[in-house]
Amino acid sequence: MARSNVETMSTVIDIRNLSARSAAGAILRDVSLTVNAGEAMALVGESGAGKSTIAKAVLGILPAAIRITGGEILFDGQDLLKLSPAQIRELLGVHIALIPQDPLTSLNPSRRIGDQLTDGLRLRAKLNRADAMTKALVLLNNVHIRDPELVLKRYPHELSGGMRQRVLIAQAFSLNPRVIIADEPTTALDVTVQKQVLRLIRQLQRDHGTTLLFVTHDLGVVAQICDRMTVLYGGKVLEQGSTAEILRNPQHRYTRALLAANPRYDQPEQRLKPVPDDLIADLKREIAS
Amino acid sequence: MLIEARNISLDVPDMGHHVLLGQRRKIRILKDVSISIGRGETVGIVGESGSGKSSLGRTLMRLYEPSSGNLTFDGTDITHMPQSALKPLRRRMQMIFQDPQSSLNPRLQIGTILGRGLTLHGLDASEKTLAALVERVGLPGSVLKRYPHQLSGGQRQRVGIARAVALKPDFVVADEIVSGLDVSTQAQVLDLLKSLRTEFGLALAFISHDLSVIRHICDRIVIMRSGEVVEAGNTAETFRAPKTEFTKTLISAIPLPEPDAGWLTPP
Repeated sequence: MARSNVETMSTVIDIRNLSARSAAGAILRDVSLTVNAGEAMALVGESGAGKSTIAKAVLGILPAAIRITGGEILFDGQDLLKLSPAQIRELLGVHIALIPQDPLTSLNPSRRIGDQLTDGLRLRAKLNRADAMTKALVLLNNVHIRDPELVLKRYPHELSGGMRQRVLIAQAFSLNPRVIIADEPTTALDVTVQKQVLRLIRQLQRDHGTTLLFVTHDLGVVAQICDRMTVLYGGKVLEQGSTAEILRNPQHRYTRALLAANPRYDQPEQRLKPVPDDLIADLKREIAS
Repeated sequence: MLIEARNISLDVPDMGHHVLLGQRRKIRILKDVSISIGRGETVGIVGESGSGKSSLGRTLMRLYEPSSGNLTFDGTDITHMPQSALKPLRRRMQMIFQDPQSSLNPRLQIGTILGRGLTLHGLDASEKTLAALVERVGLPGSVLKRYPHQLSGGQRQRVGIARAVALKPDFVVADEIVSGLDVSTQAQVLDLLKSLRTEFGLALAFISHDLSVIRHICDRIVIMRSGEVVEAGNTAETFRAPKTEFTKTLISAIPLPEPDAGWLTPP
């Protein structure tokens, strides 16, 4: 039954053979992955794995130093790489939205929360100021912010990190996009706040049927929030599949090594093993070929 | 106990409170904190942001002067000792910082950075000593001629550790030293720290927000919240049977790498 379910699922993002380079060398190597409607897909890896680059490529916000050298990113069958900047702007926020990592630098420090939160609603949903503010109140309520009327009048620096991240989540969901890309959205938060924010993202994602592409280095977070995962190393996909299956029975040596390096409070007797040097050497050779 | 703090409090001026004349109002960021660490022992100081864990670490180092309470190092009362009198003790108490990028002078070569501490304390800073030092922390001798930006995050953190252990200290405060690192690098750095701890018989204060790391490296644990110690005890014991609701909440908020359908459901 699960199988027939998979077959009827429609693909929302279909990345095919995506390659990218910078002056320093290859950043992405022939990356292929699909994200189905309504599912949460994790991009996992250490620094330099290319997980953020993939997210930025989908959003069309790659830094100028990184050049796409091949492949395509299909969104509902349309290749995002062939769109003009103006066409991409039309998509962003409305169809594809971002929850960024750092909530402080992602909000304009000199504008009130209410004004920033209503930008999209006024520009894209064409609401007038009063209606947009009313909608913003509802959005803040949905992300469980207390006293939303007060928060709308606040500046970013007057809010805690967790509150700021909630505001950005509200903003990402404000135009009910089909896809949300979350780039390490809880890395800067305390664990108790992280848990609340993850709960919120998962709940909103399910309520809205949003497709989620979740970039993280934390295998614990992946296990709790993502249906499927893609393991990356050096810009290459090493393993891809259901989160439960990969974590229970990792096929790739590197995935096993990552799990063995990850400290678990419930397994204190397990010695933490760094990813072995010979495995890294093998991977580098494999990637280069 | 090598380092012992009894009922330490720390007051700092409240920068959020504006005054026209006179003194700024004070806020108490450490309240009645007691902690002691013996030789060869690792004590984890845990808490969320703003809990006072870093302030406590810096107070133990006497980078801050306690507002009240009592602080002794190897039997000497250092609570209000002037910096000049502290200087000879400085060699024996060292700190490793979170961000090696900002705690290493970007204009100096690693060799100069490491040599400076040794020279300041009148110790041998010959090329041979420095080479042995970087080798001990698992770095190639060539890093001595490199600048901090030419190293990876893990390598820089090893330099931070080398700088601290160069002086053969008795007491080390490690403040969030693995929080910016990938898990594999983290495992290497923790391994290194463990072996140095044994080799030097260090009293180690390991400050971290990450309870999983703490569980793996600390003998005892001190859990802080709003400048106070909420719970303290043997690490294994505390994880097995946390005494306070706060500790339970902290532990249960850590996501484990195996799907748990109930984890995200509200209580």
